[in-house]
Amino acid sequence: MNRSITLGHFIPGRSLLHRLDPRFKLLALLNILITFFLLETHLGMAVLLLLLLLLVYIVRVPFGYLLRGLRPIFYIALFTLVIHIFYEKGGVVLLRLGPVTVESAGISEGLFVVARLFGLVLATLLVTLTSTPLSLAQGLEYFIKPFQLIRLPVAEVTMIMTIALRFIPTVMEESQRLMRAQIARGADFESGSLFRKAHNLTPLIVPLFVSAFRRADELALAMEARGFCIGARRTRLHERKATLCDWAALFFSAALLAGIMVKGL
Amino acid sequence: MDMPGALLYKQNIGDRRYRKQEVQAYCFPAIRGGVCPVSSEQDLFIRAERLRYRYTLENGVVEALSGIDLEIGRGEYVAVIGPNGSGKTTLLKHFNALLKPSAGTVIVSGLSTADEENFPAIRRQCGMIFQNPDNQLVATTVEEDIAFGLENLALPSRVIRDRVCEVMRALNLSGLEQHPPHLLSGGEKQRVAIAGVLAMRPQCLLMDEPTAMLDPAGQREVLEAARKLNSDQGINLIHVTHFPEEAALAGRVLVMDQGQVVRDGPPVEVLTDISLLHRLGLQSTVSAELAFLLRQGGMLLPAEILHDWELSEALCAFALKI
Amino acid sequence: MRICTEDLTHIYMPDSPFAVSAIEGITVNIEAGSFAAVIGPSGSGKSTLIQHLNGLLKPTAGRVVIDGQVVGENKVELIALRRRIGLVFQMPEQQFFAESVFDEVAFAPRNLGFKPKQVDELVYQALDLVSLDWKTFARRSPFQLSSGQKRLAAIAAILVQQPEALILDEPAAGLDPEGRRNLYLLLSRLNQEKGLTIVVVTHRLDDLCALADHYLLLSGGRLVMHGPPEELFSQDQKLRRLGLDLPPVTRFMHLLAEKGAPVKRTVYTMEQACREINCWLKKETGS
Repeated sequence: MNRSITLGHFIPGRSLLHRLDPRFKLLALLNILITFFLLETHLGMAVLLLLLLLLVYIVRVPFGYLLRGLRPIFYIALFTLVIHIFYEKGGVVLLRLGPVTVESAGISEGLFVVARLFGLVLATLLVTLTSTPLSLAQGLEYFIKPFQLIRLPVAEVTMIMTIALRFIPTVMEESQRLMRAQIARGADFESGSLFRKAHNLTPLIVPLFVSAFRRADELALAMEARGFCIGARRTRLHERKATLCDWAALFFSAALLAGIMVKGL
Repeated sequence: MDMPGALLYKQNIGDRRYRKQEVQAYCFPAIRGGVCPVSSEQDLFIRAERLRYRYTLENGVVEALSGIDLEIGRGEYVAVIGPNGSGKTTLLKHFNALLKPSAGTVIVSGLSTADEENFPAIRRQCGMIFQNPDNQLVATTVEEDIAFGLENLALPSRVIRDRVCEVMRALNLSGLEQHPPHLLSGGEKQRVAIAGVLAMRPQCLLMDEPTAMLDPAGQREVLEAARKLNSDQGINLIHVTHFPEEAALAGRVLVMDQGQVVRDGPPVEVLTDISLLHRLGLQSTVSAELAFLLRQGGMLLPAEILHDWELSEALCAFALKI
Repeated sequence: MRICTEDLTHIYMPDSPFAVSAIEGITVNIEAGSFAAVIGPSGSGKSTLIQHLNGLLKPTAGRVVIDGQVVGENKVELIALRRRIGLVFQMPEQQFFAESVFDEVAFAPRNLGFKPKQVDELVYQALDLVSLDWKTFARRSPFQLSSGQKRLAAIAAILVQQPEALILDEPAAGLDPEGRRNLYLLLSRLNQEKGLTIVVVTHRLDDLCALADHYLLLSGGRLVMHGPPEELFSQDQKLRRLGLDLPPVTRFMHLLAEKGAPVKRTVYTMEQACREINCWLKKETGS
């Protein structure tokens, strides 16, 4: 049953994108995202989307899985398209329904915005599909490291994030099991007013807390037994060293951004 | 003390092969004669003297350990049994300085557990495996978890990688490097926990009912892995268990009750003392229990029956005689 | 209560790269008043199967039939069904949330809308059934009981719904020998005196075996063997292949039989074993 719960979208693999250093991946993603916002022409958009699709091909994500990741934005995209179609005016009038007209500029503008939306999500998905949540957290840690100077406990924050990532699936599984167990005792989590519903959650929340405290207790003990000590210097199993590939990816994404800005595509 | 030769398969350190496939109990020289007399200071690994441990609850002070004197030699395989609340886990936690004695001393490898400066060294030497496999895995992948202890030691990445690789191979975990812990079976989780401890190259593995939450296949997996460490690498095992079959595999069994060690000796002696075990609400191995029942029915069987093959041989011999 | 499944299949997360079929084409028939044991190594689909029996999970294919009625999706019927088939989850004491044993056990009848007087009466009966003394335990916090008492209280919290069948997932897990004995006494009493249909799920063939009269052996989500205990326990090799061990006593009798002793192999209680051995030795004396 526990296989039913996966966190994030990560798909194991050994593709180019999988092997990139998460820090560089995040920076490159940032470049791509900015590029998408600065794009002005349909040609530029088409080129960039094609590049992304090429990456999708390289990563070899099952296509259905990718669609599943994109599904949440379908409705937003549809909504945006409709709004643009009816409110953006200009160009040739394609359709007239009484006082309402659909004009070519609306369609072209709407498609452009939708393409941008998909591009943004697709680029982000490509990163989350190819990096474990942990590696992303560690990548982020690198960028917030300077805050250590103002006494922000960066290492501890990352440890907390790691532990949270480790236990989310376990706790989700547990809450699912608890919910079923209480339903078997006639609990009702669905009907009633909002207040009623909140009240009805007690038999779920109390045991979850009890077990969370027990878990925390045991985990703290286990960590102590393995020599963990807050504030002590630690090293990493994988010390990330930037490779040529990492720099190339960063350079390429930056070049893309610069090219767009200079050429005004 | 003289043990019937046919029933005890002695082995010496140099040749630790089993003499018989099904005989999986073996003894270490250190415990050759009943209660372990540790011969020299060098062989001594853990010494507890007049160890007491108290804690305060709302309704007063509870004494979990009340005066324990114990010596455990290097390489020994000790099982600890006892009813719930008898102080087994509390005792175990004293051996890697998770708890500090309220009175008395615990010396691990020459280091006192009362001194906080010794904690890192003691914990590196005595790793602990807990009952719940879920609540002791920290990281989101198997290899990161095994590396956790080594990261705490601030070892260089290369060393960590080599050691992780090495222990993963030793515990048959290769191929699971990138696996998230929640997708592992119970037995695999416990082996990952053992690997994480083993990577720190400890002298001793403290195990607190590590098989209690596993299915039979997982239990075998974990037990075999731990016992292999003991026989191949001479790592101490101190194994708290409530399975008599597991205790029977150890070289020495401690019985605890109400914060005290009430019996200490090799399994053939301790686990055949059925009346003591029953008085404490414990059970012995199936063969020992069966032999006890048969003896009550008037059958004359030798007292030192613990394993299936022992009882079956004794019964066959009995049948031949009549 | 007669519990049947017909060609029951359940797939977790269908249509995704992570789709796993937990059980496949399971057809079982548990007669009213019987005591069945569902056995299988972990991951064999036992828990998935039993969660179908009271409609907590919906089958991907196939159906569940209770007393001739197909379990459907009607919410009212499902609630009624869950009352009639009590399901005790693994480590049920982890569901405790109330301040007293009384409130814990009263949770179900209160959900069902019983009046306070009736609730009192039902809780009293349930605690009595599991031999927890009302005076001593009703006001105690459920978190402060011993592990054996917690388990009994958790079972009482299900029995209070007065079910006709009781399904228990690994009921003996984590109990000490005494707790186990009490539990087994309770289960056989419920089965024999109260006529409850009982289904226990276990990954270990041990003392529970002495209680059940019918076995369902699952492996890899399929039903691989079923029948009376004797039949099952004669198949040492097959059980081993499936990652299951014979009960220790049975294993010993197998060993004895292999050494040429004329004893029955399919024995699974200490007393039976004792009798068999005495019988054999008596025969030896006779000849």
